[in-house]
Amino acid sequence: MFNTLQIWAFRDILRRPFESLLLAVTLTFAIATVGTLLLFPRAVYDTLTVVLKATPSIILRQVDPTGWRPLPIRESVQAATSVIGVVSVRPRIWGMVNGPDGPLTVMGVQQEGLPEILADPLTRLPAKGQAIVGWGIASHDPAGTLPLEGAIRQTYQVIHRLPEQTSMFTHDLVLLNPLDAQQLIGLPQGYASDLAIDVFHEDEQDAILSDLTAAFPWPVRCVTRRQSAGIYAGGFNRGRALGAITMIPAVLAMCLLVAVNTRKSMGRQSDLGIMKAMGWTTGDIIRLHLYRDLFVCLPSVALGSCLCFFLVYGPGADGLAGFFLGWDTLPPRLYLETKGAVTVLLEVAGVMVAPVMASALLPALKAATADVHELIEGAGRR
Amino acid sequence: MMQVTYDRLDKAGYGLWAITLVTVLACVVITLLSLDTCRDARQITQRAIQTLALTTPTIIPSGRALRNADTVKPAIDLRHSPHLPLIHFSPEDLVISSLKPETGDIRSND
Repeated sequence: MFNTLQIWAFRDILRRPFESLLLAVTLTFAIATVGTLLLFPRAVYDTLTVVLKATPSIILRQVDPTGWRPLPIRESVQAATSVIGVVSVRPRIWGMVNGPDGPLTVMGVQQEGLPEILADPLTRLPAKGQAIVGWGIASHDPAGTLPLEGAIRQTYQVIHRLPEQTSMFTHDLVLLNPLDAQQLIGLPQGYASDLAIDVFHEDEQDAILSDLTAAFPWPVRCVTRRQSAGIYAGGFNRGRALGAITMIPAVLAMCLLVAVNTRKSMGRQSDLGIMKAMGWTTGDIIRLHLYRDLFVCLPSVALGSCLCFFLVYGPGADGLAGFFLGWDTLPPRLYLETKGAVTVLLEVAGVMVAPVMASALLPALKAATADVHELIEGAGRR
Repeated sequence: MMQVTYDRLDKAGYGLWAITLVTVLACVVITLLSLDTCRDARQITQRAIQTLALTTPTIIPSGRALRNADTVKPAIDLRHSPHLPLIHFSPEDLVISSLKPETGDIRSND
């Protein structure tokens, strides 16, 4: 399967096994580190872009100079439904409260809300004093209760957990009876946190905003799905930019490797002289160097990329989520899009491997034009 | 007595097989991890989002700035909202009011 030149190239690697091993290990970890740091935010962003398409078209909130404030449900729904193009209006009751392990998001689930997402026969809507919790909320009490503190302090009985597959949107979410949620958040009776509005067509989102704003007798702020996705994209792009900064030390390390590799190859000019004296052609010598570096770089690229995939798309994603997204408790299970991952890894591998290959081939090309006697003599003088 | 030969070429052949095996195994793992096995999870998530009218991904913990980034509005936009009452403010008023006595009148030297 392998020709003599390839076997000879590997024999050359074995002449200096530790140097080659060190180069391989450095390349592997450089590709794995840089690849992971670039791939993880991109995978999260790509996945969110897909999943966010299911969110409501517009979120409408009442604002005053101090910020965001609750809106009266009946008047708000009337005002929103009067606008042509609005398909559905759903008041949302939600807010942030303190849980046993830190802040949690509480949501009052509407009567028609639950059965569709959970086909489990045990599932029922949370009654007064009951809660359905996301996968990431641990109950420290064997009785399955969850103490929450917002406007009031109250303990709720956990009756069900949301599926782990929905973790990207429900990980630390607590679903309560709407009345419980209102009391806990401190909303007055008949008020909601905001309105979720759906429009008939995606392009209507922006066109309808002025009509919606004009329909309300108080100042409101609308955030469209597109704006919302842009806000999250901006946040994750900052993460990607930070990740890209790690390229700088990685590139510096590569420069050092290239310098060492070039010096090492230049120091072996006598070998090239002997090969040429024995009748090796320039093509043979270049092929030998090419094979020698490919045998080091190829498994390094494969192993580095494998490690990167394992960390981003495999079981390592949980650890990365804990590390990069700031979870002190159980991080959410990420189900990430793999689209575009290979392109990122090929770019990283290209950036890392091309200089190493060039540093090995350059002395061989230089030696090709040199005289045999000079090569052997030059090595002798060194 | 003839010494035992130590043929590095044979050893190199085995090494090449080992490299090929490692590379192929790594590529197989990459291919397996590249398969989109999470489509069902994303569809369930989308149904949950539609049913509960969720807008915020929970990949950032509650209470962090990026978690509810869409609820944050720069104050400058609110100040320029035509629906809000105008706040009369000028540096001149600030200086004059700081010179005012408790009664609210401007102190006069006359």
